[in-house]
Amino acid sequence: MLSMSKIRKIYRTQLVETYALDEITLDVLAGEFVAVMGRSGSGKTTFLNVAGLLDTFESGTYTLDGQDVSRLSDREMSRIRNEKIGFIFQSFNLIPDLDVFDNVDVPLRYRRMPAKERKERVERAVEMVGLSSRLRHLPSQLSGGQQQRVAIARVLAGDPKLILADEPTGNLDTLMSREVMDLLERIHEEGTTIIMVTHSPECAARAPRHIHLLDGRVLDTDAQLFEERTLPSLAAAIQ
Amino acid sequence: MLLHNIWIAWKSLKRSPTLSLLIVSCIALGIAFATTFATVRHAFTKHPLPDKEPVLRYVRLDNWDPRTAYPGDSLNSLPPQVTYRDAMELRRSTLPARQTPTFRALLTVIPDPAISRPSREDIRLAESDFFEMFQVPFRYGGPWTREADTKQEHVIVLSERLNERLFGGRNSVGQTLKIETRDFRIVGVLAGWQPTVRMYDMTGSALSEPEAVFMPFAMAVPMQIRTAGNSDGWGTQAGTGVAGFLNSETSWLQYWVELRSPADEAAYRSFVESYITDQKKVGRFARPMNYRVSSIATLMTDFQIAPKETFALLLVGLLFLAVAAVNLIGLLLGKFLARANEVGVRRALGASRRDVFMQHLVECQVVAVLGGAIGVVLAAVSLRALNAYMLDMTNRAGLFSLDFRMLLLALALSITAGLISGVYPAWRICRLAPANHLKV
Amino acid sequence: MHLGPLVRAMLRNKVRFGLLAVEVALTLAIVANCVSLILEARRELTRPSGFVDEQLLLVTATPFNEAFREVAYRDTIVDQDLAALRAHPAIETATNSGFLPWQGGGSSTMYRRDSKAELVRTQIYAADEKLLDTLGVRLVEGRAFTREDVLRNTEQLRALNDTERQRDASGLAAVKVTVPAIISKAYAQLMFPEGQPLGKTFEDEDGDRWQVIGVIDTFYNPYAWKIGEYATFYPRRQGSYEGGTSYLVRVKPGQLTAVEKGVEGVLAGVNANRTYRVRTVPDVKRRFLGSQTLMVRLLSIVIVVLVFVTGLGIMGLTSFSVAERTRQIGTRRALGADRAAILKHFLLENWITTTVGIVLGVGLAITLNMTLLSEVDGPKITPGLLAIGAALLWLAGLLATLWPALRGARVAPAEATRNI
Repeated sequence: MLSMSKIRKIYRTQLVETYALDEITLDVLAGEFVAVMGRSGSGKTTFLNVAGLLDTFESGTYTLDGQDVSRLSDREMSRIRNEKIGFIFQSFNLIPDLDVFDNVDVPLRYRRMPAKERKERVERAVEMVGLSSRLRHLPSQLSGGQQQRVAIARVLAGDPKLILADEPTGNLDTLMSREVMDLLERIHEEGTTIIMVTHSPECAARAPRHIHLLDGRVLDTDAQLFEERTLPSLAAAIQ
Repeated sequence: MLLHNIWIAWKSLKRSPTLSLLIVSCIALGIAFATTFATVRHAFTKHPLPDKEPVLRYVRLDNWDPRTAYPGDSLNSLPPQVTYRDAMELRRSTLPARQTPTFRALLTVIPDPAISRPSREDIRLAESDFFEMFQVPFRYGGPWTREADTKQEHVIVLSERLNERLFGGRNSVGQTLKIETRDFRIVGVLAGWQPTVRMYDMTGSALSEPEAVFMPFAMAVPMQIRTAGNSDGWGTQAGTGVAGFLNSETSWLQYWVELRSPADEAAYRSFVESYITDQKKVGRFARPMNYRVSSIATLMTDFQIAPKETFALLLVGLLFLAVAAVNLIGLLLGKFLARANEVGVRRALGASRRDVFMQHLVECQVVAVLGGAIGVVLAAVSLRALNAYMLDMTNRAGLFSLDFRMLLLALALSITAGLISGVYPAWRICRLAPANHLKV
Repeated sequence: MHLGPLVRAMLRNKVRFGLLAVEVALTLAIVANCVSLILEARRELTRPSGFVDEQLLLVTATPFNEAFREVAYRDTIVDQDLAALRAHPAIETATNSGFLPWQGGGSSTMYRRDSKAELVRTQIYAADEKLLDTLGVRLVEGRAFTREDVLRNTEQLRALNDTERQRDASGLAAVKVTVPAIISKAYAQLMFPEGQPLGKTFEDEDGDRWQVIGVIDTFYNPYAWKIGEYATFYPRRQGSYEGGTSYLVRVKPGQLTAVEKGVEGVLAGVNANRTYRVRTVPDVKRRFLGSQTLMVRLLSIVIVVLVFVTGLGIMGLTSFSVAERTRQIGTRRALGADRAAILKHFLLENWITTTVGIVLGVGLAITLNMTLLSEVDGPKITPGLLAIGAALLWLAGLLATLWPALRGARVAPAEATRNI
């Protein structure tokens, strides 16, 4: 599904150059549920931005669903985001002035779908997350967990191939977190690829595959983790 | 607390200079336009003699043609002046404390050839009471006496301007000046009299300046002086020449009375009515009974002294201020909401909603007063430019000035605009829950 | 397109957008009325009188020498004055008349067709045989005055004024005279609606007959009452001892300033026992129209500043509106909106706001117009003017929103994942 090769993302200020992603190479197959983990500053968010075509990168190649998306125009990238990718954000990012229906409807509108089809999809998606009774409520009238479920409905309505989730339970309590993770698992079972950025071990536990990032690089899973745990001085030096 | 809030407001303004500039200029422009146009209108509507408003009255009689009404709107359906015979009859009444017929003429003034060539000057003929009635200020000497009127003495009063020209501004009381064919003794010189509106004669241009020479009304007949102002007549003139004219239905005189009390005024009205009734018996005043005994304020409205355009300008000025105020609301909203973070901190430190509200309302007022001050300066500059323009047109300097009332108006407008524009943004920002805006 | 949710979202932010709409409404109302007033004032300012304004001046000579009390003496002086004036190299011609165009007043009287008809008011001025040449007006019918007309009629009228007239039962003069008259076409149409005014007569209040011997084309001299287009000229020596004698002088093109300075000398050369007053028609016109000109200038300034302020206001409010929603923009981009879609979103928002403002503004403009008309006579606002105003505001709104909207479109999709 997703294949990155030597992706490099640099942030430049007047004085400093930071390598947010330092020659990242990884592959995610279709249908996988991957948790991307790392402490803050490890490049998780940057990785998600690049993966979701929210941001460009300096060098390397990125193939998404068999298409090289390295040098695309803004219009083409927007189209891919709209049709193939679905986002779930830590702070839900619902549009405050729109009700639940209109919020879920947003990506469908960008697809220029006819009204009848949109209505069907929206209603179905909202039902799937169990909020049909709140179709006309505003985000300010919903709890955190409900808002995130609406965000998930927004993703579902578009029926994307890849879901990118950025700390989806970061702002939720334990009960709501569990509900959201249950939903994600269900979606995964239906065959959607999910890449979830998280630092919560409980959430990560739900994903069969883990990737660790450190300083913009993928850690060679167990080996480097082991080093980090047993050789604190080395780990400190690596930092 | 107020002083503290003002200090906070000032610092906040300095922090975002371009935005502050935008906000302050918005109000400044609004106040400038509103004040400028209000002053222009004020110049024409303010009462030139407020002290005399209760006592001075102007008489108008409807001696017009029975076949058609005098051409004019409903307020002015009668001639604006009176005839000579009516003036002389009105004079018989002892009810007024003071009274005078008056009119303007154009006569040749012939000074000492060494000083100046002869010239035509505006002369006002009136009786001695005129000067007290209209509070005319004197620099040298004073008005002639009532006796001088009765005895038809050859006396005159000069305006400051003419005295400058002919006598270098010195005290010319006692000197002689030849007018037409007669010599006149100067008994007084005025001290620069420039009422905004020429209230004693509103039948011509309201902005004309007072005349150069004042002469006893009694001179009109012996010197056969004709009016240089408007006159309206109808019908055929019985008799020829000057005598015929004085006896005709042509109205060319302004008649003023000063009545000490409302009772006197009522009595005077009865007098006028019975006079008209009597005249009807001899065939005059064939139209339905119609007369006016009007105050200066009423006259200013009837004659529509204030050019109508000034009303339009005033409206436009106030509406412009309204637009500026609306603009201001938006700008303030944006500015305050952008600082939600700071407000969150203040609230976290214990400021109540009321404190936040007041703080921001004070900030709005500071902006409004600052903008208002700049606006007043702008208005002063514009008015000066307008004065220069009007000087060219009407020969009057300093027609528009920011007197105390206009400054008060500007202040009131600034504060009101500040309040109206500020209330909503201040309320919005004090309602924000602090937690949402503190960086966690 | 995205109209439904867009409008619903706007409705949940009524104050924010309402402010803009109100500002647009007020601006439209003010601008439309100002333009209306300006157009009206300009109509007055550019109205032609029908005369050669730029070449005319009036000089009045008032005597202070007793000799002038004699009519015969005065007549001789007038003839000498006219000869001197007409011989002057910079002067085209001159007429003995007190008519001064563009004063805003003059003299008027009333005439009627016959004793049963209604009296109609007209401007009236005495003049001599050079009147038409001096004014530069065209005769459409009949002829100009001749010297004989002037002399004969002067004698006739002087004789009347010397003695008391005998009156018959109806109050009219027993012996009536006939005065030749040249009238303006507008007055001719008023007095003789059936046409063919030449040769016909109308009468004054004494019963004297005034016979139309000539009709002139365009005549407009603004007057306090609505008689600006009605004029009657009659042949007569103008002048008196008290009022002096006036000459309306037509100078050769470009010579106005020179003659303005020199004409006093010309007349003083004939007889120096007089004071002189010179007024050029362009000056008089400028003073008369001064207030109109001022109005036009002031209102123009108001319009320009107002549109500028409103434009800035729209730009400012939209900027804030955009800046407040960076996160939302990022999210939309993440969900698949490209830059064009974001741009269109803001432009559409603004277009709706402006339209609401314009609709409100039309109502406000009409209300304001009615308030103004209750005090000032002016024109009613035309739908055409409102349409142009609306178009202007749409355009201004679009331009003012463009910059903030483009800024909004440039917000990076990565805003969506940025931590607060």
